[in-house]
Amino acid sequence: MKYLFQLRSKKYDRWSILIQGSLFLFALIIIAKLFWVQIIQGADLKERARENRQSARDFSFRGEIVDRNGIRLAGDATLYDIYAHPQYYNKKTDLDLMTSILAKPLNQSKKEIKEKLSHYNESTISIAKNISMEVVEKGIRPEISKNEIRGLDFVKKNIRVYPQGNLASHILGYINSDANLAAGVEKTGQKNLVTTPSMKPVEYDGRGNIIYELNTNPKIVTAPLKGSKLSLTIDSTIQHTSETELKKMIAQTRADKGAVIVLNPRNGEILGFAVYPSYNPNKYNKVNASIVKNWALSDVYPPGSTFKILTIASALETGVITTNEKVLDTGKIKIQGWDIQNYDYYKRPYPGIIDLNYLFVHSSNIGSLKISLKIPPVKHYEMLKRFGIGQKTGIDLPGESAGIFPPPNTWSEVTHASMGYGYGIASTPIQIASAVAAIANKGVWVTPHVIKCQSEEEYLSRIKTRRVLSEKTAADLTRILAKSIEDSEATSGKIPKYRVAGKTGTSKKPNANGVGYSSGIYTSFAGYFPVKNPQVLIMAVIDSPKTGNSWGSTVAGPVFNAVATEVGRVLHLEPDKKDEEDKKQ
Amino acid sequence: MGAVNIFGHKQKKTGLQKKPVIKGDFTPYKINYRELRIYKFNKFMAFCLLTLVVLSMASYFAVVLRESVVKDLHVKTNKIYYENIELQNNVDNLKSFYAIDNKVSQINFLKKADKVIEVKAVNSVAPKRKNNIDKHNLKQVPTGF
Repeated sequence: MKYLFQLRSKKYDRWSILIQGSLFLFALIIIAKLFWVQIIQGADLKERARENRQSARDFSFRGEIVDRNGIRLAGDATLYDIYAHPQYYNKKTDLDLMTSILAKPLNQSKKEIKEKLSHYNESTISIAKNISMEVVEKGIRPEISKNEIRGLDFVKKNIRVYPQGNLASHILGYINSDANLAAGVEKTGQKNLVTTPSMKPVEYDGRGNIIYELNTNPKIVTAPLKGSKLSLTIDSTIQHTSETELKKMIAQTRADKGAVIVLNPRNGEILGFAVYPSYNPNKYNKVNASIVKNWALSDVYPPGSTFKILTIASALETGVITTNEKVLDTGKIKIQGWDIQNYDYYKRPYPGIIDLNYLFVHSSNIGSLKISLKIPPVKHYEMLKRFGIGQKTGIDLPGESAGIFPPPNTWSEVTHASMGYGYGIASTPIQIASAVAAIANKGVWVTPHVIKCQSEEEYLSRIKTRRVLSEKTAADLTRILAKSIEDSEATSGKIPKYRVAGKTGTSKKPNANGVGYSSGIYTSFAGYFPVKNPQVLIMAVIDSPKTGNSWGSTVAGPVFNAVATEVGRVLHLEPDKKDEEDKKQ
Repeated sequence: MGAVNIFGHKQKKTGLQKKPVIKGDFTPYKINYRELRIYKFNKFMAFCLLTLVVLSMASYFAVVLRESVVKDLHVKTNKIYYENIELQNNVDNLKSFYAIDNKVSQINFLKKADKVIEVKAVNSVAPKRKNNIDKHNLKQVPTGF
């Protein structure tokens, strides 16, 4: 301990005091700065740091879209854009080497690459875009690392991939992140698809490095950042069947377009939504916008005889008719100077007194308009509004139209009459499908939807329900419709194992300017089954078939039959028809 | 002999200096009990500080090391994930309804034959087969029921 007892000069003490004072001052400055940063500016800086961290999380995979059985309908793939920064590479030694490394994998000539790399006065040169991960990671990057070349930048980006090709293209839509454009569920499900799971506590700094926390779970850190999965109500098999049958009929009849909607009337879940012409969402930018558009939601058409279901339902519900109602069908009638006749007027010029079964079997326009005129206009309007006519169904797909449904004070007698057999108004196929589905669902209308609800709460908040008809009216109508299908000479709606309640429709196509009708027609069929316990509704609409003898029963009907048979098999629905009945048909 | 001030500040006179307990030729140090305690306390604090510095450094290196391992794992798993997703896309595409439909239409195995060759009725009597089986080399085969 000798050194402890050395004598110290006064000069030493002065210096010591000076140094101690300086250190104290320095410590004071640090404390003051810390106080300023952490206390005074604390909240503001914390917020700025958080913003900085979030901005580094841009690269995350968009969530997958799967069908109701988990089949992947959309996912992400990784691509690279390659850039060069001339200020970082040696022009003399690296140029040839870089050229030889890049040329072959990028499928570009050496001359082309060298020419690009020689723009020394530019800070960034674009070498190639949309290069697959395999080419970059296996063909280029190892060589670049081996030769220690600087100045090449591989910018990672994701691209949306639809592995099922054309399947459900109008449901899935597309996404163009650069232009902020989207369609289909890519648009309506956007929030889900980009929301990364809440259990992801990892944060990145401005350079993209993980900010480590002692409580960070390495398993979570190492997992790639990915948006939530979006489950659809679509069944791929039913969707494919619908698309195939629709395409077949359109090719056969040389029709312009068509749609098949398969939905569960109980909960509004859409099992299949085929729209033709379809497109490959992987190449959405190479097809015409009119093809990308889901015409079954945006375009309207006069529903024709399928609308008679709603006319009779409204009449039964308002009490103006009973199930045993009889009307005089004169075959032809003149209202306000307009001649209206049955489609089979020349075959049956005067059917006489008819019942509701005859009305549906022979699709009597005169019977329907007479019943329509019995309903007071305001009540009729209210009933059809309850069915969702003239308003958007609220389906979770973009671009839906409300249709055309004039208020009752503008109705003339002929408007009201023609409304009885599906003219004078214009609806979208989804409106008619959801309206008829309400009858199948014991009189309760349910919002049709394609994005599956994950919980009871979500279902209650997203899906609207309303009673349109009494349970008895719905049951009576189902019975009448099923009987009419059985009694009909046509094969529409007659499928093995199941009894079907439904109605065909054939309507003239209005001119594009809205005045008069063109030579084209819309053929449709709306039906549901099994009659005993309806679980599936199918709506088929085909626009402008160009073969002779085109009717709802000959064009849309066979599509319904083919799809319904397959749907019954896929969903294992319990048959409600005996074998003998099948044989009879 | 002058007194030695080991702490460098003014010393207070204490009773210890006035009344020595033992007599002898000792060097009179200007040190008292309080100063000695302060000295020992400082030494202890210096030791604690040093220990803390060493512990902090060790902890820092451990954290950095762990972070680098996690980062490395992150890079590797992401790489595998990207590869996997590429492969999954290819698989999904290959087994998609449309790919199968296209393949079937290309192969066209459901196409009916262009020409059907009628085969004349075959002889009802089958040609006699030569019996050249080695009867001695037959293996016993268990028979079922």
